[in-house]
Amino acid sequence: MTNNGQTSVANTTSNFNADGWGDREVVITGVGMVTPLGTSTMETWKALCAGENGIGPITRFDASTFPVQFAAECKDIDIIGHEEFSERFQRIVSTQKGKLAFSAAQEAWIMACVDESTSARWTAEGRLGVCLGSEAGRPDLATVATQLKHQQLPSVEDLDLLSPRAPADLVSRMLNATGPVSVVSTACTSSSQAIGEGVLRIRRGEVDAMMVGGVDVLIDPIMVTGFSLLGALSTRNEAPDKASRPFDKDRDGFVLGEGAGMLLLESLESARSRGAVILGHLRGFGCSCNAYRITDSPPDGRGAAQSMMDALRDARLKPEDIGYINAHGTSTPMNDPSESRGIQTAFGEWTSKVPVSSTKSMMGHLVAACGAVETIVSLLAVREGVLPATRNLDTPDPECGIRHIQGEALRIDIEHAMSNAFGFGGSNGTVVVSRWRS
Amino acid sequence: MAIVITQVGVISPFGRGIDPFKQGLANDVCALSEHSPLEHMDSSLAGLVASNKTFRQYLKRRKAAKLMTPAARLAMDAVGQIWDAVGMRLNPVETGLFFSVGREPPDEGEAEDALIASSVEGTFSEESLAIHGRSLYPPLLPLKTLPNLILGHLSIHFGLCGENAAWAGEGVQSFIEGVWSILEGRSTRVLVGAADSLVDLGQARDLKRLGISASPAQAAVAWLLEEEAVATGPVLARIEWDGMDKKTAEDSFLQEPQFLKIRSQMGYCGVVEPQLQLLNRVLQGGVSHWHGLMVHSNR
Repeated sequence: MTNNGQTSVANTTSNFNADGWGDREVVITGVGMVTPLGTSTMETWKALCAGENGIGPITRFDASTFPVQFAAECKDIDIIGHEEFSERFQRIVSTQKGKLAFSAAQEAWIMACVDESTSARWTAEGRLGVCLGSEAGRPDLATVATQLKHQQLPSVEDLDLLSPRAPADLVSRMLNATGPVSVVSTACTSSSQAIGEGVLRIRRGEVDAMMVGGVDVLIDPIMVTGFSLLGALSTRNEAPDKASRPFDKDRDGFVLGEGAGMLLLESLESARSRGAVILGHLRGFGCSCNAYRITDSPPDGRGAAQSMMDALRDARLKPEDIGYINAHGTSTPMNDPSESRGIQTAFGEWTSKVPVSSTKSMMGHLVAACGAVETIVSLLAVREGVLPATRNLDTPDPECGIRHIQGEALRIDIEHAMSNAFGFGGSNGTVVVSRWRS
Repeated sequence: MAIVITQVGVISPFGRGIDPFKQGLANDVCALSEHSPLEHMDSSLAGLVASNKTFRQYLKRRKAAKLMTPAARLAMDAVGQIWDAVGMRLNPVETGLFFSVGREPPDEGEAEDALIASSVEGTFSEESLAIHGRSLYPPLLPLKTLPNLILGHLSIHFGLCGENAAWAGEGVQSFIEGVWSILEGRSTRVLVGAADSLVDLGQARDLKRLGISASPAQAAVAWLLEEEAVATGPVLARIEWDGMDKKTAEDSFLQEPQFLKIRSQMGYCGVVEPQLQLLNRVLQGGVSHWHGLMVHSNR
């Protein structure tokens, strides 16, 4: 639908001839996530470090007759703090997508400890924006079937809930964010690109802070059916906890998941001025297109390599600076070797030294949310000096010639980590996060 | 650094290319026509692109058309018009690609047979979906509902592998981000644009319920933005920031008389409308203020 003006850059302080714009440092002052492994960042992180499993039989609907009967579902969450919202936002926050987005954003906001005067100034001056990765919602099939039978039409309220913009509007309302609000929709790359957009807006001086991230909820009959027919999902019904096995010789597809990840990004100047605790440095971002096929990755991993090299360039780092790669690692036969070759191209001789793991092995594929959640995991790896392992990686595929983290999490101090996200349609996004040293 | 517009591709209910669009608006042509899928609605008028076959010439594989939504086909055509003029001169890595796309909802019509087979006495049954409906379910349907697939098709068939992003439901951001991408040195050239098709029954009904009374339409527009120093052709317009505050910029956009003119003559085309409005201004000449940008037309 038409743009409502919120994306205007008219209030930017940059101009064409200004020197030095685009070089503002962007830092992370709050993170939040809800994943199949936990309802908070620390719960998820502890589970990842312990190599736990978040994948099990589908409970959201009766999947007993489906070819795929398991997924990575989030636990039910109770949320508070939305009681004053209007009817529209009450409707959005009552959906699973709304709950996940709200909860993750709330955790990030609380962690960032934004004082009232700063918050009020951001609202008054439009200095806080929101950019989320999200896809259009899909109508509940039972409702659609009933509507077909009775020749009814979905209501305006139904349509609003299906808009990809609904979660971003909800988060914007929750934070009283009056700056730019936008939604990036590039499938599994969506939230990585949303982070990239947030970084750029802060660097440009358009805003002081951005709540960025993503949310997705795909565990429904229509998507399980659709992805099954595409042959993209693992069918290991007898052992769901063994189903997601990125880079393993016996992998057979990805596991659908759901979740949300949010990061509060700020300019360094803003974070310092309010005395915020800086969690890390959002150092670089890169993206590319594969120009290959809609559902397949190029065997040589060229698009992935391009994205990683662009992110390194943006971060002003060399391959040897990166201490950990949180891979996209979906566990599909095609993605993992393609990504491995992309890493080989981007990292050259450093490929054998940089540790790589895929946390999708534990929490499944969170689709539009995976880029944000895995960027937070990468940040925590840098902060805690713990690199989660790839679960179920029993026999590494020789086609995936990279340095895997197998078995237990690796304890090692690192300065910089990279998170990859690649999507259907051939969109690639890479984020680099670094330890903050003031 | 100066940024310029050097090429434009457009396909709209007025026809294919700039001239039909310009002439259609100038001559007050009504581009609306009867559209049989809407015959049970209050009005069956829609802004239809008369022949949308020309996109096929740009496909690397003809089978790929099956994967494309109507909006994707229109986007292929609009970018293809630019490609015809300068394609061979574009560096695939250094050319960014930014598109605004509609929300691409699932076409319930495509899944209707599967849904009916998945129902027992009109009530949806997961078991029936798995047993009976599954074989009738269009396997590519979930993919078609991913808005960024338009971006994917453009990338694949024109070989573009540089910076990219797709915005769902936003008609301005792709153009603005394209400008920034060049300014910030991430691309030397960018293809930006918007594509939307709202003429199927489901979307037409949705528009009515959302209070948009105009007839539904379909269209796509694409632009080649370049650094002036490396421009591949004659400059159609130069771009600068206008320094206008946000509120004034919004008001300026909403009060633009051409806004209603485009809509009344060819219908409502969703995310494409703001960019068609900009195109109309560029074609008229002079200076235009558009979402924080000042666009100096060379016409």
